[in-house]
Amino acid sequence: MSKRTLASFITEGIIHANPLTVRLVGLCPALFACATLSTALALGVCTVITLVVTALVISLLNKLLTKATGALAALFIACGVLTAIQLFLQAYMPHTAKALGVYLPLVAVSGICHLYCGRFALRNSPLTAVVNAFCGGIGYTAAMLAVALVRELFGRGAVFGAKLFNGSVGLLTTPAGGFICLGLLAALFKLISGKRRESYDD
Amino acid sequence: MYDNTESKRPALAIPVTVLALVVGLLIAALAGAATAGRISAREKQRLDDAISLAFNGNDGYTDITADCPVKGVTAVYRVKSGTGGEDGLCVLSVSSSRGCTVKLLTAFSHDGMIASVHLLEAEGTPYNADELIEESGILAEFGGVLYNTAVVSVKGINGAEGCSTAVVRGVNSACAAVSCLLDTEESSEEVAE
Repeated sequence: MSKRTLASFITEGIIHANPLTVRLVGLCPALFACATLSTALALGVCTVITLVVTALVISLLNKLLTKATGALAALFIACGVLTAIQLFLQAYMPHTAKALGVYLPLVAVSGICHLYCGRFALRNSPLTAVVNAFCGGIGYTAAMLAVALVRELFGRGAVFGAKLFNGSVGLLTTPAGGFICLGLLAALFKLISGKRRESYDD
Repeated sequence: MYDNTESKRPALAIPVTVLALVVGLLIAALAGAATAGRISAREKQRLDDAISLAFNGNDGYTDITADCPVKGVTAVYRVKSGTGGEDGLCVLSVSSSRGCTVKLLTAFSHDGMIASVHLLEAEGTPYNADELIEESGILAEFGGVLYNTAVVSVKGINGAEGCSTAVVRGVNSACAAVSCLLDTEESSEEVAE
């Protein structure tokens, strides 16, 4: 982190280069998990853990890996970490494991893992890679929670499963509703981040 | 500035990648070993709860799956009656259709009549298949049906037609297993006489 400050990692991960709304990576698991706040939070936490652990391992090995093999190594580590997380969820939080289903392992093969672990961690020190992965994971989680809040509140009239009111927009509970919400949020982020995105692409 | 754009030791790249694969497998294996006991205990508890739901106040059960292996049937249990009545049968089956996979527990009375059908798990599409199946009331349609009456059609579930077919297939598999068991028992009794 010789040139970039912690604040720059935070603003980049959460706003200017948000993985979900600006870079548009990890869409498939996110769109599924964004249906309710609880699944969005669960997937977000699992993603943060996976990104941080994988980025740490890859950044420690980066002097021995090439660009091509680095991406593959990141995939292997992420698969191992996600399998472990899924097994622990099945053992201790079965309802969460069932709710996330097949979409949790999908994080390993999604663009978010390749971006933070297969590319960035391969070229940076362990501390930088871990901080960047953590901030990116938090940004991903925050974006999912924002979409999930809109979908659960107006689609089901509830927050974290607690019913608040009757009468809701059924479309928001469907995948199409998820795409619309995410598209609107992406437009908002684009408006905020605008041209600054270019400088953070690498 | 720390910037490793290419490996300093490219010859080691492939062995290190293989090492990453081994580490990944090791992480998964360790997690599997740490959670195996808890997961199997949970599965056992779920089975006990499901059997108790079908046969309230039962006095335990024995696994008789090996007596009559039938495709789609994962387990068959003879449930001892806790009230001194006739024993019953519980059949676990897994079936799927058009992306919807259901795991059912079908309870039979001693004479082979379906007492009740319980949904243990539903996976695949639609994502809320379990809710749709429970709300549709399709499982109650099988009550009172005899094991030798193959069920071919029931009122389909709106928005989850694949699940309707999967449920029918699951119940028919359970009926086939019970049919095989009762026929075997009858033959044994005749030989004994």
